[in-house]
Amino acid sequence: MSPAGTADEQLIKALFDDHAGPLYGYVLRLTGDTGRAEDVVQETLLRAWRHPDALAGKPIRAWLFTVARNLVFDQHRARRSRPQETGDEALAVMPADDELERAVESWAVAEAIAALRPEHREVLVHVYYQGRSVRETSDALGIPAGTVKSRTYYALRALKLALEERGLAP
Amino acid sequence: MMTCEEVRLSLGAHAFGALEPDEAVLVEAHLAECVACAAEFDELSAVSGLLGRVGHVSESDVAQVVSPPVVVLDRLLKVSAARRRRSRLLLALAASVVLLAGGGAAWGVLSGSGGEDASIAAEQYAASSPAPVVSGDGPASGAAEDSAVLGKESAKPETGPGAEGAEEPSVTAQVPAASSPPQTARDGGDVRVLESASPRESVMKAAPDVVMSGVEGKVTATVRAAARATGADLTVTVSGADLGAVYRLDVVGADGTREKAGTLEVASAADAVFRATTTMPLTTVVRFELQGDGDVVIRIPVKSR
Ligand SMILES: [Zn+2]
Repeated sequence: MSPAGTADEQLIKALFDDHAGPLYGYVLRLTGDTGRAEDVVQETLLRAWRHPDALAGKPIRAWLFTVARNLVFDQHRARRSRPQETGDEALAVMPADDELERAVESWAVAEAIAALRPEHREVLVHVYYQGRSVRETSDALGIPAGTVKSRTYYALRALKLALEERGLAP
Repeated sequence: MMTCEEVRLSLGAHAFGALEPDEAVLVEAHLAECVACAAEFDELSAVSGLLGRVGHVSESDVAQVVSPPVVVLDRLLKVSAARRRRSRLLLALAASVVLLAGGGAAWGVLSGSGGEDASIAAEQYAASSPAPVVSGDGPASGAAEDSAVLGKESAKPETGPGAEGAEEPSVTAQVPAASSPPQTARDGGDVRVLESASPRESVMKAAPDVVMSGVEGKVTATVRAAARATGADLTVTVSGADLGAVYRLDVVGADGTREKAGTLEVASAADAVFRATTTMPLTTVVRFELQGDGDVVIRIPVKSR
């Protein structure tokens, strides 16, 4: 295997690991179709891989979300032929708007929650998403109430750090 | 009375309002008196507050972030590998055949089977003007100059920046470092070509672009062919194909000869457009074939004109 190929594969894996999760979640919301969401995520990451210059100096997450969103809406329009290697600039041109900004932020939060240790994520799901009390969570998970409380505390502290890492200071 | 340590560990649950009412009262009493614990609670409340503000992040959203579809990664790596194969193919091609265009003229560089036989065919044409008639024989055993002769009576373009070149062909084709330096064959106004491919009659006539299509299942492929001095430029559009699908483009001649014109990787959710070239004269081409994974073949017949 050539060193270039290895570098390409590493870059693709890094792009996937860093962004595929939130990007897929976002696109799935837009399309409501897992197959199409996979296609759009694939092409978006492909464009990022092929055109690192297009990304230079731009927040990569906002760029990816913009390209993905435009790909989704592009597919709604009549199919038309265009060279695959062009159009990236046009795709990435999108005035910053609140909706996109909120989407990027929301998925960064989802990502921060996803980055928590499983036992921390688990108590958050119960206490926050399902609105359960400490006692209810304790019963549901079969762990002592004190453990639920300490895990919730450490989950929030870890989440604060994870959010700050993503530029989302609470 | 609760100690600070006890209160601290309860503050996370309290920030979500998940404490039992009796404990919540005790914690609130402590917070009212303890500045340090109150500051800690403010920090944690800000975090839980942010979760509430971006409220539409759901449990399943988090699950998706945790496990994005690995099939996407597999296909990306496949596309990357296909691109690498194609790059190697192009590199190999570049060492023997280089087509360079500039200033409205194009030079075909064809290297012979042996390094000594290499020569340059400087055939000029403006992209939109009538192309000259080209005839060539296979490589002869004699000197390169005798192996093939290019008729250029009608080669003078009517217009275009290449016009002055027809009078005085300036061979300025750049030779990539990867290829062996070809010799320049120029004899007065005559320009010669050494055809290194299999011996065949090659005739090219001025012709407009030819467009033809083929369908196989849900996939449609269209080839637009523009005749060139040594074959044709091809623009291939593939619609309905799976992302990541790889096709090999073959050009099939009337006598059964088959030439691989390129490898196409479908990397676009929209119609995928590719460019390729063939050295086979368009007039001798009976069909194009796109061969995909397995036995998938899209046949694109060329209508007789
Ligand atoms: Zn205290």
